[in-house]
Amino acid sequence: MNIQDIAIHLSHIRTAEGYTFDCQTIAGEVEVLQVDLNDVDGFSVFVTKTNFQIICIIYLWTEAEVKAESRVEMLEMMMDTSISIPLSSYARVEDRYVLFGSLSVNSNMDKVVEEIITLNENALDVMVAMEDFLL
Amino acid sequence: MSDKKTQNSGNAAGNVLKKLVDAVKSGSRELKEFIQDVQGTDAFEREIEDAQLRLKEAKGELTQIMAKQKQANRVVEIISQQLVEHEVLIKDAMQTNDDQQAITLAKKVVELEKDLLAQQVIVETYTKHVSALKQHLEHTERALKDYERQLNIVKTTENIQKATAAIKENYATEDKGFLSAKKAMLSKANRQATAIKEPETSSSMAVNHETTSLSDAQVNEKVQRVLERLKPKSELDD
Repeated sequence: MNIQDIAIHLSHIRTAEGYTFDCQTIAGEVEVLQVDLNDVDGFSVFVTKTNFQIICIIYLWTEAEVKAESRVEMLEMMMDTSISIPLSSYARVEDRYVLFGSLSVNSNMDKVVEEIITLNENALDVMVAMEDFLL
Repeated sequence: MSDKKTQNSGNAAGNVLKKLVDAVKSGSRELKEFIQDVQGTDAFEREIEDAQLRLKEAKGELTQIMAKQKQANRVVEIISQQLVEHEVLIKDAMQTNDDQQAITLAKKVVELEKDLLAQQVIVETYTKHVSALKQHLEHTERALKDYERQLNIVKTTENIQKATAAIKENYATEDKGFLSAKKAMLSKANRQATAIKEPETSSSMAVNHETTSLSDAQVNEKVQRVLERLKPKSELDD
């Protein structure tokens, strides 16, 4: 399964819950697929692939958007709650906090779809839950 | 650190996660260098190739030894069967008082027992060998998985850095919130504020529509005007 396969699959399906997807490939040194849920207030999920895993990422906020006085508390909160978030975890890429989920490259398409939807739902919850730590 | 951990980290590339932690501590430049260093040495690829080769050899050897073990087992079965048959024959000979035949058969039994013992030793040797090879195979498989896992750490770090760079390059501005759910939430809040205003606009449009609708008298007047305009010229002339 490569990024194109994922794009083609996502562009044509409608899930049992009625979700449909809009996909856009981003050219660069590595291939990235931007996936947006149609007609839903969600976030762009960026999908990329290595030899071993498929990684789905939502960029949450930057360091500059964190209240300086709440930063440590926010980080602790992220550590404390990460394990409870289904299928997703926190990480930081450069100065950007992200929520991500990773799958084996051997996963089937249903798992990728599940990951993208769950990640979006989780990100919405995270934004509401962590609002107080952000400017 | 446990012996197992030390053993796992004892390959040419060392503990990659520890190196990654040190690189992240030092800053983004070091992180890029870390990726280049590990990639540059090709240590992982070599380790993986070596391990794969060892694995292939060990599997070939194991298959051969297992075939020999099976063969030796079959010989043991045959000798055992022959022993049973000879013992039956000895009993028969003794029942018919054919002592000569009984002695000849007994000699053969002694010989068979000697062969059986020798074959059993061979089977035991093969069994030990197979067990040792299987263990070796498992260690190699484990080492291979460990190299692959550590390579995965480097590849993933590199991939995410490059993916983020590509996304950033693609969206020069972050106004649309692709790179920040926080900004996306803000624009969503704005959209919702606009959405609340929309019904007002629609209803005011309805009012306008009503005010622009014509009374019957007005319609009649307009109809007359149209007819007037389209009247044949001759009638106008009259």
